[in-house]
Amino acid sequence: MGIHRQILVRILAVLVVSFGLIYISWRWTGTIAWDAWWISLPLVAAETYSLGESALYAVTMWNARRRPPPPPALPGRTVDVFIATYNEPLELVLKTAIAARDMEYPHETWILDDGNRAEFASAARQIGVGYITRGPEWDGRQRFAKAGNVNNALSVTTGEFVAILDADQVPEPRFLDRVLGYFDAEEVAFVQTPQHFWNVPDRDPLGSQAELFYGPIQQGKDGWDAAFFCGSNAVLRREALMALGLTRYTRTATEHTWSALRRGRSRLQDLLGELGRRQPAAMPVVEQALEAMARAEQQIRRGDVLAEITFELRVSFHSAALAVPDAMDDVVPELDAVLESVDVAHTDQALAIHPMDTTTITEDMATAMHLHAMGWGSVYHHEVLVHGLAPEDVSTMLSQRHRWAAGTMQVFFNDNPLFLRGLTLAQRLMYLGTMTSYLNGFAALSYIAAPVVFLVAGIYPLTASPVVFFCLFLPFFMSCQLLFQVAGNGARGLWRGQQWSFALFPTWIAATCSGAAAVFLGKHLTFSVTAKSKQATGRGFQHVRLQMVAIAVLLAASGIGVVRAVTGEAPLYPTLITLAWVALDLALLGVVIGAARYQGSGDEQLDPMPTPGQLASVLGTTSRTAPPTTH
Amino acid sequence: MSTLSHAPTTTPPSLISRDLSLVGTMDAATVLAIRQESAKAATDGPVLVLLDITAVTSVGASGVVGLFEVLHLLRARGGDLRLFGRSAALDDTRLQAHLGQVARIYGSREEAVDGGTSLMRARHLTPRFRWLTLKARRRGTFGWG
Repeated sequence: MGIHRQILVRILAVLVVSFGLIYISWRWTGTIAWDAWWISLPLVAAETYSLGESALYAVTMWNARRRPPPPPALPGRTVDVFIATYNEPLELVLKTAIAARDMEYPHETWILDDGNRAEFASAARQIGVGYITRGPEWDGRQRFAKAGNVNNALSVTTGEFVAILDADQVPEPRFLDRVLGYFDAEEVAFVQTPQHFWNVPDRDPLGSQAELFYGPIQQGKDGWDAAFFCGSNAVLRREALMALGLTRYTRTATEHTWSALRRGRSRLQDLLGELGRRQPAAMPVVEQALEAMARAEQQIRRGDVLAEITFELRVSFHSAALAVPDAMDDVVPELDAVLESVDVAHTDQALAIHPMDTTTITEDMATAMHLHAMGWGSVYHHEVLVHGLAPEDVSTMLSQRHRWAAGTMQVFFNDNPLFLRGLTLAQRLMYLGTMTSYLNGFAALSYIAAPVVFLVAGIYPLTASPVVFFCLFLPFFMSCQLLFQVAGNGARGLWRGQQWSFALFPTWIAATCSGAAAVFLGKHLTFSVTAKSKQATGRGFQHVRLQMVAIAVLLAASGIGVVRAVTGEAPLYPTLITLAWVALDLALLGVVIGAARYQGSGDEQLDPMPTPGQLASVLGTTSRTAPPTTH
Repeated sequence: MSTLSHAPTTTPPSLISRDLSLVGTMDAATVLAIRQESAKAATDGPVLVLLDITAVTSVGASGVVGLFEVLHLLRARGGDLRLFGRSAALDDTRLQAHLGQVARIYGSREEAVDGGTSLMRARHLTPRFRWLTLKARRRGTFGWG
C-alpha cells in the first residue's frame, strides 16, 4: 500500500473509531427502548459488536504491509512438498503431483494419501514421486484428519522445509523459488501465498475468491507479524513446527502423566471390585498394580524423570502379571490400556508428538497462532503462485464455510488468543478479529428482526429522533464503508464479501454452537473434506432455505409496514427509514439466490495450468491397479 | 497392541540391548535413521536401545522430536530407549530442557543399562526442566540449538 493510501486509511480508521464511539455511546445512554428491551438490547448489542469489528478491521489495515520481492532462494535447501488427499479423484491429485514434481527448485514431492488407495501408490511410482499413507500404528487410534496426515508425513520425511498443497492446488514451476528466500531470516516459520481459484466466474456467485482476505487483510495481519497460515499454498520451516510440537509435549508431559495415572487408578479400582466378584485369584495382580501406581504418583511428586517412572511402572505391572499366569487374559488388557495411557511416550497414540495442532479442525490457524506465541515470524507473499478449484455448488461451499467457522470458534473457546502467553497485543487482536467475525451471525439476526418487529407491530427498537439518529449514524456508517473501500485497495468482491458475511448468518450461528459444544460438551467436530466436484446440483435453494425465509419475512413485513404507514397507523419517517434498512438487508441476503441457482462454471473458465502430457498415460496404466506401497 | 504380553519373562532391565550411536548433527535425517534401525531391532521382540550421543555436535528440535518418536516406537513394543554420554552441543541448547523434562541422559552405558532401577547409584542428571527458562523469549535464538 502506497504512503498516501496508508495515510488515508489511518485517517479513516481514526474517523471510524471516533464516530463509532460517539454513536454507540449515544445509543447506550439515551436510546434504548426499555419497554421493548427484548429487541432493543439485542439490537444495541449487535451494533456494539459491529463497532468492535470495524475497529479491529481498522487496526488490521493500519499497518498493512506490501513486501518487496524476496531475496532469491538459497541453493542447497531441502524441501518436501506434501500433497494432502483423502477422497479426491486420481486425475485431480496427479495433475497437482506432476506440477509439484516439476517445480524448478530441487525438492521431493510426496502424495499423502489418507484414503490408502492402491492406484494412487502405483501412479505415484510411475510419475516418480513419493507416496505416504498411514501405517498400522494408526489403526484404532485417533487420526486427526488432515493434521494427522501431515504429522504422519513429517515423521517419515526430513526436508528442512515443507510445502503443503491441497489436492486441487496446482503450483507454478517457480513457486518454491519465489518464497524460499524469505527463510533467510531465521525467525520466519512459514510463508503463505494466496489461494486463487481458476474455476470461478467474474461474478463469483459463491464468494470463493476471497480477494479481500488474500490481499488487504493478510497484508494487514502481516504488518503486525501475524500473517495466517491457511493450510495450503504455504511453505513451513520444519524446525519451527517441531519446536512447537516439542514445547507443547513437554509442557504438558507431567500433567498428562499425572492425570492418566489418576484415571488409570480409578479404572483399576473398578476392575478390582469386579474381580472380587468374578475372579478373586486375580485380585493380587491388580492390587500390586495399584501399589505401583501409588509409587509412580509419589515419584512424580518428587520430580523424578517421567521416562523412568513410566518404565518402572511397566516393570511392576509386568512382574505382577507374571505372578498370576491365570489372570493374564482378564487383567492384562486392562493393565495394557492403563500403561499406554500413562506412558510418557504417548503409546496410546500413533505418534508421540504432533507438530501440527490436532486439537481443532482448523489446524492451520491454531498452529500459526502457537508459532507466533513462541516468537516465530511469518510472511504473507502476495503473488498468485498456485491455482486451485473452488466449490461449484452452494451445498459444498456451505459445508466448507461451516468447517472453517466451527474450527475457528473451537479455537476461540478453547485457546483464546487473549489469554495465550507469548502473543503481542497486535497479534492477539489479529486472531481475535478473525475469530469474532463469525459472531456476526447473531448480529445479523438482530438486524433482520428489529425492522420486522417495527414494521409489523409498531414497536420501536430505539427511542430517538430520526434527525439525531441520521446525524450520528450516517458518519459512522459512511466512514466504515469508505475505510472498507479504500483499504480494499481495488480488490474485487468487496461487496460480495459483505453480502456473504451477512447472508451466512445461519452457518455462522450453527458453527459457533458447534465450536462451543466441542469445547464445553466434548462433542466431536467432523472434518468434512471439501468436495472438488459438483454436488447436489439443482437443490441449491434447499440449502439456503433459512435465508429465503428471512427474505420472505422481510418482504411481508415491508408490505405490512407500507399499509400501516398509508393508513396512518405508523409514522411516515420511521417507516421510511426502516424500509431503507430492509432494502439493505435484502440486498445483502439476495446473494443466496444467485448462489442457489449457480450450476458451476461450465467451460467458459480456462485452467491456467496446462494439463501435463504424462497424465493420460499414467491414468491409462493405473486403471490396471497395483498393490499399495507404504513408506 | 499389548505391551505386557510382548515382555520377556525376565525383567525389562535385562532386555536384549542394541547399541547405536549418533554422530554429528541430531536432526530429522539422522534420527530417522536411528528410528529405522530401532524398528528393525525391535522386529523380533522388545529391545533396549542404548544410544550414545557423545559425538553429537549440533541439535535441532526435529532431532529431539525424532528421539521421542524412537522412544514411542520402542515403548509400544515393550522396549525402551536410553541415551548416554556427554554432549557439549546438547548441554548448550534449550532443547535439553525439553529432553530433561521427560527423559534422562545417563553418564555411561552401564548407567543407561541400569536405567533408574538402582536409584541409590549416582547418575549424571540432566538439568531439571525450568518453566522460566523455557518460556523466556530470547530474541535471536530461534535456532533451538
